[in-house]
Amino acid sequence: MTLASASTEIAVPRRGGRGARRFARHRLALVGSCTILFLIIASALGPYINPYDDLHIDILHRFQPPFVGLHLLGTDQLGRDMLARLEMAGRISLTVGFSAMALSIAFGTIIGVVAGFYGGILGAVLMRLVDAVLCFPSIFLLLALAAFVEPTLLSITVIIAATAWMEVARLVEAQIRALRDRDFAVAAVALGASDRMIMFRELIPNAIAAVIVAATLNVARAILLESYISFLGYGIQPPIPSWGNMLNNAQEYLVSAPWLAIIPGAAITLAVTGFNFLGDGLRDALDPRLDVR
Amino acid sequence: MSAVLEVVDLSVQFHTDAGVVPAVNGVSFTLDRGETLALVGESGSGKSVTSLAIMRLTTGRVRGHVVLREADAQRDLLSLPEPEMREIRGSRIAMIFQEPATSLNPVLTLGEQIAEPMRYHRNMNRAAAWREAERLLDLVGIPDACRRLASYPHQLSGGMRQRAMIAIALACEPAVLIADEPTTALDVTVQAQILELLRELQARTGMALMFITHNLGVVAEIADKVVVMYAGRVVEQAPLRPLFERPLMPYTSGLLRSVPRLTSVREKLTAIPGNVPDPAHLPDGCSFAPRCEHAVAGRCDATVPDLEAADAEHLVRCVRWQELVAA
Repeated sequence: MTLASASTEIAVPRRGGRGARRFARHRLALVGSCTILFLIIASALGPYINPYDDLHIDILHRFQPPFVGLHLLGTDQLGRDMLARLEMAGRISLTVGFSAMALSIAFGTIIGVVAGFYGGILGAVLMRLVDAVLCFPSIFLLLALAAFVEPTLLSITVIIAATAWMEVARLVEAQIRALRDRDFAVAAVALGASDRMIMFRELIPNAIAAVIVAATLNVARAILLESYISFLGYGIQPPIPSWGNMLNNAQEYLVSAPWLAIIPGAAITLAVTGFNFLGDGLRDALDPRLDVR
Repeated sequence: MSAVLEVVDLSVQFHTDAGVVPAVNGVSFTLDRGETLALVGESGSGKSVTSLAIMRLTTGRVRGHVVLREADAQRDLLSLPEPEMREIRGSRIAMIFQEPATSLNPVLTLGEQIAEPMRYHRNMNRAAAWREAERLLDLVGIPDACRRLASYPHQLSGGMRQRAMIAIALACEPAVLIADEPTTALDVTVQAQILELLRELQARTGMALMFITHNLGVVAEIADKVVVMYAGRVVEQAPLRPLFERPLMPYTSGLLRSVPRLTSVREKLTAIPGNVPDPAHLPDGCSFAPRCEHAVAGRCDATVPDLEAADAEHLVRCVRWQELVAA
């Protein structure tokens, strides 16, 4: 009786319980994800708490150093509150970072999977296209694209994604090409799985570790790329702050007011290293083979 | 007994840089409902290619007919459009492979892997497919099936993995199960369990089993009918007992003599000298002639012998079989 009733309500198990444990074993990954969480929360909620507006100019209180006056992180050359600017910039930079990552990963993965799975002429054409785009130094590609398009949050995100998908495509293509001939892929064909099912249900989960690592690196890279183009004047337009253009503004005052560079620089560093650690942890969490028992 | 699978004059050629390589040459046999056919031969004899060709999974050029007969329909698999063939794979004809360790997807749980084919062949929803998966795991003798559904392949032993593979193959109640050396990678004791399981499942479901192996001990254990292949051709075909007791083709006798026996006296094993010929450069005449102790120059190397009927069920491809029987 009890046996029968027990077997009728088998729960479809949730995925990822064990994955979370594997992730938690990874100390640095926890630190990384906490850092990122902190940056996200600070950027999202900070502006509601901070009394200062990020665009409010206060010429009387220019170049206030951090941790001394009313301005916690000091003020810049126009007397704007650095903390408020940092928080608003975080919104922009993190949004660009995440969206550009998502876009480049999605596009790169699809191209890579199709090229790796079908191979032949289609694969060759796609991969030569990737090579061709890779040949452009990404900074020039970025500038060339940015010169034609009005810089908005969306256009900058798309442009950054357009220069970052190729590595993902290559990575995924190589993985899929190796996985395609493995026994379990052949077995899936023998079970009547369609191409789409084999690509997305059987092969991609096996390549996901590499994709995740690429994704976290891509967030970091997108944040850096955004600062490059902001630095060169094609990015997020002042007075709206981004971590990149804050750094750009700071270069004239590097000696007299070094905190103007150090603060956004530290934010970028925290974000980039945080994402890298997170990537390591996710790679382990997503690989059930590492489940030692 | 009614035939469920009929292979007629099946040939597979691979087009390589070195030219056209015939891997399988004019293979014909029938498989009845509930019957077990063993396809026997050395490595490179074309037995695996034959099974892959039946499933249309080989990259080579396939000719001939593979007719799947079921109550409602009779279809030539080699001329079906790909989407229809996909419906048949895993659902009407399923296959289990030699290496259970690598044939399961390492990053998906058993439950997901067993449920998947049912979801696309039988349009089951996730919950129903999971319940069915649990029943199947139970059926193939995996204890604690409910908990095992959440296991990954690396958490199972080799025998368990092969049982799981069998569960996946049985998910859609196929009419034909092709087993490509399913016990080769397993321990002897586990081998026996798996064979027993296959026999039991066959008795229960009435599916036909096509068993590919080079292990004659396994053949004796499980087969009703044996097809011996050599260099891409069927060289002898007979029901189990006549083949073992009265092999007509010298190659078959050689194979039988080279099986180690469990006796107290250590006999010297009689290996067949030489190797399987390179399919790209088959010798003239009988492919086995260069290794055959009964080969006669001028006769055996002249033309490829026909597959002759020694009696109603016993076929042999040897020009000298009658002389050899007489002697």
